[in-house]
Amino acid sequence: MKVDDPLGKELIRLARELEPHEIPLIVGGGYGLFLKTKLLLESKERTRIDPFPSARSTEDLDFFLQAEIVSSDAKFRKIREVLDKDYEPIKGAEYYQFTKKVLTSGMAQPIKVDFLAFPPESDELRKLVDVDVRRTAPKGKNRVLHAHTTEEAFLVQETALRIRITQGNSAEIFIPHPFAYLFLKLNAVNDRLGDSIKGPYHAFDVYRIIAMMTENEWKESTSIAKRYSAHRQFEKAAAIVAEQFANEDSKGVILVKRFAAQTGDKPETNKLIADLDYLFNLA
Amino acid sequence: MKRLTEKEIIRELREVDIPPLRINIREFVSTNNDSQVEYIPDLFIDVDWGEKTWRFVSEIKTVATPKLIAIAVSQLNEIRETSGNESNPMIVAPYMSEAQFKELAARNISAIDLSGNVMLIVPGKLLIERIGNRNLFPSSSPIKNIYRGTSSIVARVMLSRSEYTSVGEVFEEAKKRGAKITLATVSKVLKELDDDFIISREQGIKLIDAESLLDRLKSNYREAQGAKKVIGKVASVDKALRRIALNCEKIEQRYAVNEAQRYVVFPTVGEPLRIYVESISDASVGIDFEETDRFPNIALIETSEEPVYFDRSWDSKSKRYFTSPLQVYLELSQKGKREQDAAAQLVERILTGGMR
Repeated sequence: MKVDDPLGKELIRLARELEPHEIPLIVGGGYGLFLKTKLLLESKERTRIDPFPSARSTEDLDFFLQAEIVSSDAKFRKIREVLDKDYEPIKGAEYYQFTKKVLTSGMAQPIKVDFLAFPPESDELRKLVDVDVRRTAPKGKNRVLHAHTTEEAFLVQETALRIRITQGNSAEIFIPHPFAYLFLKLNAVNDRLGDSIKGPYHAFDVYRIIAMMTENEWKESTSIAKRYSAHRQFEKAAAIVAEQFANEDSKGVILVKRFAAQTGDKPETNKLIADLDYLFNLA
Repeated sequence: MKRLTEKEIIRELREVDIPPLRINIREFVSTNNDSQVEYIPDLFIDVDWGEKTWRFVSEIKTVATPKLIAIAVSQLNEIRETSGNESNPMIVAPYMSEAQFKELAARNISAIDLSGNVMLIVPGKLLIERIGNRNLFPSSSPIKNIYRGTSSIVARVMLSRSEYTSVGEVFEEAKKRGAKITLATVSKVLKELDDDFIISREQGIKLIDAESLLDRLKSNYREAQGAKKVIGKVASVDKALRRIALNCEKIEQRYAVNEAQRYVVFPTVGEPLRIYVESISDASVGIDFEETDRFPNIALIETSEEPVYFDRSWDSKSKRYFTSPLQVYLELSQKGKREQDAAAQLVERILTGGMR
């Protein structure tokens, strides 16, 4: 798939530099959703809600690091080595957020990269990793990089979708499966209910994810849901759905409508409510 | 409603009722000795409460612009310095904002407006606060809102170049950047910008507070009102843009492609490219356009609002006009979180003159 923006170009460059060291990049956040939307528009596959909303990304690239990466000091050092070529650490988040400037219309504009990880669950890998509520990193002194601990990303690695992107050069990257994305966004909504800007924006991303699911992804989602229904993160997400997305008057649904009023989108919230209810009440 | 004169304000002030207080107004009568004093106050206001009376030395302002209030504060301070603590300073105006009342209170300066707002302060003795009433004199300004619509062109000119020798030069710069505006409007708006402390007119005309100016443009920005809009699909966006440019040039109409990605890192997909045109029917001649809201790739917005076309940037490579970085900034800053994040990328460029 062709990408023609500065973030895509940078993503390809980073992915190609890290590929020989077996460090795959899973792209989440706004740009991950942007890639998913672009893919769907090109494939013209049928989706749960038609038409699904357009996608807008920011200047951020959010990378989810796999368990095998966060447990390897050598791989963390390699990532840092690549970043040190032209990125600056961001003050206050020196070990997991980095920025560089790219030229847009003759002006230097920032690109930011951010690292996140779900802490490994297997005993074998867990003993190689230091984890606290904020940071996940390989054990050892002289840390060079942390990933932001993201407990709700428990399905990202296992279900990630592989895509090849091109802009002159090309590279293979991964984006989260829509069902894995849902856990991230449901938690984000729940954490930002009172935030008048971020609350509606995360809530609309929940709608966007459901709307963009293809029939295949819907089937996969129902089967993953059955498999993981006893997982603590599934239970937490199901509680958020019951609380915030139960009906048209629920806070999360109101936030979806509030965002849409700003952008001119016309969300089919009845379908959102029904699909979330179905996915999280399968147990 | 025309602006009240000082005499009319005094007349209205006599009707102001602040129970249980009583106010008595005494206009300042000049004596021979007054000529030795640099500044003469407008009024004495005596405030009675039972047996007690407090005298306020008052300055009247026909409109409470930041600049005029600042001048009044310095005049009252001058009096306070010469007469000691016996006189309590006060400002009277048709309307003052809550923020202005609070700012004055922090300096122990009382204030009364004709919209029903009162703040009386005699340190250690009296404190009355009744503020928050709406402005009953909204036409206190000669132009309704200098930060919106055609008037905002002058503010935009100041952001695109920060120093001028005369009003005429500002006017010429506005015209050079494509604005249709009159010299009279430029002159009126510059006066208001001066009153708001955004520019200084001490030596020529100079922008002194670009940040506040940008902030006011942002908070006052509204999308083109009642604009006709068609959204749909064309087979090739590039070809359609070439045709629109050609059509508009032929009939001497303006157009501007509104593409945020030209100035900021902000990838979007499934969004139509917005193009401002003065006439949709004229601009779209010869374009095979299918109106649809299902994944449209183009949106034509019909508007003659000046700010949209002001300072359009010409791209010699694609040979077409784009909206200015400031216009892109103002539009993005009204939308959701991702748009606001993208808008933030432009602030430094606008404030440091990167768009000049």
